[in-house]
Amino acid sequence: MSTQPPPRRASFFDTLRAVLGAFVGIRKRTSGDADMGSLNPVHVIIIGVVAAVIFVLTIVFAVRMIVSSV
Amino acid sequence: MASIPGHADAGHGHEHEHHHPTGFMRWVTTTNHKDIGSMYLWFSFAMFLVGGVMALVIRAELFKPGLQFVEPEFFNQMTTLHGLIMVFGAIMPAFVGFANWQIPLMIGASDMAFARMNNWSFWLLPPAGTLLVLSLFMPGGSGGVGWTLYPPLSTQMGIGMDFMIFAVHILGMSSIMGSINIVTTILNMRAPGMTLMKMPLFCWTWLITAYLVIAVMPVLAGAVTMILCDRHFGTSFFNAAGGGDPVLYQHVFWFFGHPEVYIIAIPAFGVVSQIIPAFSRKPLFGYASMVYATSSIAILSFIVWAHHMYTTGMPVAGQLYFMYATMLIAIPTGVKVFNWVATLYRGSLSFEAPMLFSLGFLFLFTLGGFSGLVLSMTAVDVQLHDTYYVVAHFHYVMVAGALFSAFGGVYYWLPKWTGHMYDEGLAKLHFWLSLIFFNVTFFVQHFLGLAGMPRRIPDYAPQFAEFNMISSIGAFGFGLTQLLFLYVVIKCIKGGPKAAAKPWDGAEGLEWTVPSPAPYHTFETPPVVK
Repeated sequence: MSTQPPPRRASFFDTLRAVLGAFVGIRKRTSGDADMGSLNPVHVIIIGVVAAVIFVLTIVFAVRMIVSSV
Repeated sequence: MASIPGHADAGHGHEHEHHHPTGFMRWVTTTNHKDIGSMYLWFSFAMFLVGGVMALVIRAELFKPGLQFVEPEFFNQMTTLHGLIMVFGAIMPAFVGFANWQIPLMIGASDMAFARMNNWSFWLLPPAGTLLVLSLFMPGGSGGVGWTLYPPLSTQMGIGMDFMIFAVHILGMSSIMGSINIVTTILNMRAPGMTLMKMPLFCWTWLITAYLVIAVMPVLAGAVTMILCDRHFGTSFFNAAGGGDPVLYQHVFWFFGHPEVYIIAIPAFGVVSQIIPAFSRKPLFGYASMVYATSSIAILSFIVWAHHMYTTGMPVAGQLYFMYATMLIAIPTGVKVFNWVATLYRGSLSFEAPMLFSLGFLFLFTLGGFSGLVLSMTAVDVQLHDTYYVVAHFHYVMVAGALFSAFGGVYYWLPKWTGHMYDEGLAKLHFWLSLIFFNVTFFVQHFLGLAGMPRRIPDYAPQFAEFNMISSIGAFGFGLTQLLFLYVVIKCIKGGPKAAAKPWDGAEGLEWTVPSPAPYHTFETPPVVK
């Protein structure tokens, strides 16, 4: 939509930071605006799904530790 | 939010006659997003009244212990149809109605992307609603299985159950088509300069909701199709005697059912996120946070489904997993509540009806969220499962959450839709009566649940009598109050003080740049957003 020159492409860590920001639900307006210009939606979806899997596995791991210690 | 340049020509003065049928055929053949939005809203209100009458049958029967008015079988059919009609016939189409009316106006599009499919998605609804109601008149009546349609009961019911299954199929198709339309419209038809992060939050919430609908409606369709196969085609998906498992259905159903909660709640968040900034005369606090939190709620809603089934025999590890995951999902939702409160903070507040409904939403939805947290704890839920505590919890989320937000949205945009201001005094009366009667109806149900009264029963032990009587009185008050809403809306359509293009001084967005009432065709030439 924008006619401005394309901003720099986001690195893996930029995308990860945006996804983790989403998981907590907190993101600065300026970062959000910057994300929209630089993030690749496909990368966001892939990292989002991977982060969700890691999130699930972390809980599963915590549960296993708790159950085995009883 | 988006800064809007001067748009004196937004309506483009297209007053000339367009070639479309008039009278009844106008509504049958229309592809206009405003017509279709209106039809969605009227349909959902009609279904809201039908489902509401069913709720009143339930509450009349529960007014006193013992059986007074209806047979237990009919009572069960009422609870089932009340749930299905309110979820699929009233709340979901209401927000699709808002989406149809508002999304093209908000993003500066001339119409929805697939205008004919839009017509088809609406016109699937009346047959589906009719099927649901007709199921009552079949031999054996409708399916008295609860809105979740759990087997083995749902594989044993009469032909009314098949009507319900087909109704759910049709409603699901309608929702999927509506969602495809919304996604395509938002992604492809935004006006020049309307970047995603400039979109009103309502559009964002619908974009995310539409993806959820596309993801989970086929799951529900699959679940009810398996029931249909078990009923008629000799399969044993859910029949233990044939090697199946009824608990499988519960997993599949709630894999749909939990995201469904967010399908209902997220557009409501969107409406409230439009109203609160307008009447606080401040931009929404944490716009980017809201977008991110909504996206993550959508993803996380897929990994918590079995908290609806703690008592179905799950390993302790499974219970713990779903308990932790459910508690964690409260964090992004909590962020949203803080953002709305921060938007109010030091705002120049005024309390017209849309704002009152939004504040009612904020307070009562948070209360419903907290009772949800109580229920997320497995040890507590085992006690409260299938009691009136659960009924109280989800009515705080569905009625005080989604319905209050929908009422707020109707009052907020009614001047734009009709060109007239509604009767503010009556609208405020509608709010206060709704607020009081809602709490009279549902707050006491927390006590009933804590005391152990099961849900979905037509008769109960005498110690529950007082709270049930109070709840029933509240329910009749709440139901009658909604006739006042109907009166206010009809009065506003018929006349009233002329509404300005932007009747709310704090409101922002492209929809307020077109005249009120919004012309039949808007933004045929896309506006340019700075």
